[in-house]
Parts: sequence; C-alpha cells; structure tokens
Amino acid sequence: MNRRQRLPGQRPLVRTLALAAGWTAVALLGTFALDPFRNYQLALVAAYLCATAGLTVLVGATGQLSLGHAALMAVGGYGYALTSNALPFEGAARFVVALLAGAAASAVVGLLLGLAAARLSGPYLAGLTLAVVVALPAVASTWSTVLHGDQGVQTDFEGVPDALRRIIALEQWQAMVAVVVAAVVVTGLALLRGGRFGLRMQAVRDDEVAARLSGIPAGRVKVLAFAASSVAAGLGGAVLCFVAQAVSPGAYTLGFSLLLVVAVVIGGLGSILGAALGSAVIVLLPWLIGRLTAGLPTDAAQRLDGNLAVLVFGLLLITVMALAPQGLHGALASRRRRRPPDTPRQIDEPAPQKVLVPTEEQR
Amino acid sequence: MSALTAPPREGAPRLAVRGLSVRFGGLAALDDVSLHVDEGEVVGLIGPNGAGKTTLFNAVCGLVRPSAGSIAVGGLPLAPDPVRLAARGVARTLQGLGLFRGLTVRENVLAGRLDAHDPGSDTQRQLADLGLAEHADRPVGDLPYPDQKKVALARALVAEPRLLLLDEPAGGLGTDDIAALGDLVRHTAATGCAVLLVEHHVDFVMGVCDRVVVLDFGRVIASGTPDEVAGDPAVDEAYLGIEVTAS
Repeated sequence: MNRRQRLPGQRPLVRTLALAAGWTAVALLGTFALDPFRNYQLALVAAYLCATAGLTVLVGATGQLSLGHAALMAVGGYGYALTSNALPFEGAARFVVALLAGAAASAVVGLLLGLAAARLSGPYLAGLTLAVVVALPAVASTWSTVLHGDQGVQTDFEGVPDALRRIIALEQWQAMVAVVVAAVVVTGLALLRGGRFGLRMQAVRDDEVAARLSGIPAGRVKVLAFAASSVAAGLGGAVLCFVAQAVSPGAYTLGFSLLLVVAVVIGGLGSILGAALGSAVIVLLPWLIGRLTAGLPTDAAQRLDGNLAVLVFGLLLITVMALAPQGLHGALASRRRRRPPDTPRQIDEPAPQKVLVPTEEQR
Repeated sequence: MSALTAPPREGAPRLAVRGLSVRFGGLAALDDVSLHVDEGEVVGLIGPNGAGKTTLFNAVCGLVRPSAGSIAVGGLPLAPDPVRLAARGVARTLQGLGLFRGLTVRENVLAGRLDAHDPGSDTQRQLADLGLAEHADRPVGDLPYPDQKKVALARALVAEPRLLLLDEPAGGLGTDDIAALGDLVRHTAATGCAVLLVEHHVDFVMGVCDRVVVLDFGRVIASGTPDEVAGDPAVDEAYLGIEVTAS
C-alpha cells in the first residue's frame, strides 16, 4: 500500500492479491460449467456482491447503517448508462470509461451523503439513507430530460469481444465481467478494512471520543468509509446496467434496498464472505420460490408470486437471528473454531451503545 | 505566593492554563483557573466530586469550549480540536476507559500510534513494558478490569506523549496495582513527560505527585507540594478531612 510498515496481523498485500486472483480464477472457470441462465444469475450475484460487500464493511466496521444502498447502486447505474451513451467510441474502452464514470458518480453522491452521515448516527442515519431511496423515482422524473423518469435510461449493448465470440456465450461473458468487477471491489474493500484505515473505522465505531483523542479524525473516517462503500455499490449498479442494458428507478426500490441489508445480515454482519453468501441467497431464493409456485394452479401462483418471497425472507431473517445471530459466516466460523473455555465473554459489562457490532475476526 | 501563580520557570511549561472559565448555562464549572505543568513534573488535580477536574481535562482536550482564559501546550496556544492533540504530543486516558471493545488488546494500543511509520513494533514494546504481551491478541473485553486500565494507559503511552493527562488512573485498582501504577507514572515523568492526573485516591496522589492543585466548586482553593496541601485547613475542610478519615 505504501512504504510504511505493515500492521501486525495484517495480511501481506501479495497474499491478499493471490487469494483474490485464486477465487476469481475459480469463478471465471466456473462460468464454463454453467448454462446461460445460471451465468445470468451469477452475474446478478456478482453485481449484488459489490453493493453488499460495501454495505457489510460500512455497517460492520463503522457501525453506520445505510438503508439506501440501492439508490447508490442506481447512481452508479445512471452514471454508467449516461456516460456509455455519450461516448463516441465502442467496445472495451467504452465499458471501462463508463464503469469508472459510474464509480465517480456514486463517489460524489456517497461523499455528500457521507458528510451528512458523519453528523448522524443510528436511526437518524438510517432514516436519511431511507429517504434517498424513496426520493429516487422523484429525482428520475424531475430531471426526466436526462434520466427519462420511470422508463429509465437504455444503454447500448456490450457484446462479447470478437476474439472470444466462438467460445463464450453472451451470458457467460457478462458473468465473467461481473465477476472481475466484483473481485476488484471486494479486494479493494478487504485491503481497506485490513489496514490502518480499517483500525481507524473500528476505533471510531467503538468509541468516537477516545478515537479522536488518539488522533483519529473521526468525521473524516466516517465520510471516507461511506464514500468507499458508496463506490462499491455504484460499481455494482454499473455492472447491473451492463448486464441489463438499462437502468430505471423501478429496479432500485425500497424493497430491494432492504433486501441488500437482509443479505448482509443473513450472511453475517461485517463479513465479506457472508455478503457473498447473502447475495447468492437473495438472487436464488425468489427464483426457487418461483419454481415451486409454478407447479400450483395459475390463480394461486399469481397470488403467491412475489408475495411469498417477502414472507420467506422475513422468516429466514428471523430464523437466522434466532439460531445464528452472527449470520451464515458466523455459524460456519464458530463450527470451525470453538471459543476456548477460559475466555468467556464478559456479560456484566454495560451494553455497547452501537447495536451493530461485527461478528467475526476482522481479516 | 503559591507555585501556581509564580511565573513559569525557564522555557515554556508543557501545559499552561491561565484564567480558564467554563460555563454550562448558568453554572460555572471552572472559574478563573490557572495552573501549569512542567517537563518531567507530576501534578495532581484533586477535589470533591463536581469540583471541575474532568471539565478541566475536557477543556484542555478541546472537548468543551472555555468561555474565558487560555490554554497553551509547550508555549503554543491549543487548537480546539481533540484530533490534533496527539500530533502536539498530548495523550489522555478517559475515566470510562474508552477502549475499543471490538478490537484486540494489540489493536487498541495500535490505534494510539497509527500515524507512525512502524506502529507494530512500538506497540509490541509498549505491551511488553506493561506486561500485556501475552494477552495481545485477546479481545480487550476479555481482560480483567485492572488489565483493561493498563491497555488504556498503553494506548496513551505508545504515542510517546510529552504531556500525559490521566483521568482517575487508580480508580478500581487494588493496592498492588496502584503501587505499580505509581512507579509507572514516576518512570514516565522521568523520561521528561509532563503528567497531570485527576485522582480520588489520596495516598496515591500524595505519594506520586510533585505538586497538587485542589479544586472546589470550579476554583483553585490550594496548591503546592503534597505536604503543604495536606496541611492546608481550607483543603481539610473542603475535601481532605473527609477523605482522610474515610480511608
């Protein structure tokens, strides 16, 4: 990262990159084994992972809860679409420039929101971010000459590069691109959290006054954390736009925003692996339910379609909270290493002020 | 004339507080308080509850705005921003420990040294100095209270402060721990650090401090060496009489 010494316990940069490259290679090879629809689902999971990984780092490491990450995804999506449509050239260069523009747009919005967020906490911050999602359709129709209201913005299709067209189908190509972007986002977030900035975020989360007295600029840390999380979400939105060739307010509803939070909580707050598991759950579960209800009579299927998924998510969330409060990742991790009996958690301490505390080792 | 109103000795004192007043609405938490702490000196700030001791600390740290007066560290006026204190060589412990509950012992101490080139080895040395090395990778909340106090102290010391503010460092500690703490404070001062501490434990204050400043209702009512202060009838009346007979 820089020439300064690594922190004790911090994973060496080379190892982090090797780990990321390994997982990415596995995912890319995996796309060859999947049929087009599965690859489409994989692309969705990868796009959602960008947003949920950003969210889980934000909530887990800084204790700032955002209910508005869908709106930040939408910002990335609009940034991508508008830039892509405006660019005079095509192909990979257009995709990369548009992607960066999406990231930049979400960085600006994230920075502005973060400035407000640094002055708010808990339910007030959650309320602010909630308002942003709710305001999205109104924003899209207010500036309808650019954002095209409820219809959203269509983008040109980015096909498979000529050299690969014979061996790779479109869906597989999209999944591969999505996986690579998600890998970059996740690696960036892991590096951010594993280093000095990660410690600063957690110090601010645990005791802001003590952090400031230790020379940690709490306000700036919170703003930057929010902006970084926002960029991650924006890249997810841009990838989603790349896959769907369109971005519209209808895709980024309040329900979807809350679903991102559900994914993070189910996976295990603060865990990037958990965010990946949670993203897979929110992509696969509605589809599975759709498959189940497809066998029912048309009338019943129509009634259940959409509604049942919400119900199941609610039940799933309650079940996870009751049985594995630390989420899927927490449950997996505690099975592997049991806490030694001589180190019981103190239970007579006053309850921590922040409700949202990370649940696993931080790196 | 007491030591406190005398002009500072050669060179600027590490901490110079002049005519400091802090008001919370109509209440004067501090009223025209002046004191100074020199290099290598340990000054104790005592007084009954509500006398304004922690308020003085908070004012020095920029956590509350004074309504009048000045605070200078090393002869330079202090910016009212706690974040910049560390860079000025000021470290402080908090009454409520202020530990980062989600972090390990080592990470808590690291957090006090993050701007350094190599915080890892500084932290390791500080942990070893305080006998915390074997607990370094445990969650800080798992440690017994006296050790948690040590972690808070280690986090302040690891920044190699030139002015150390200790808010009730002996609170909640047993006799042995208090003796060890006294040695540590004297040792820190011997390296040239100026120490200002707030403490209720009278024996500790009298044993470890070069000078003692007594606050009552936001005003300095006495100051001087521990012996001078202990013999001051005003202090007996306001504070020490009660404390001495109680302990």
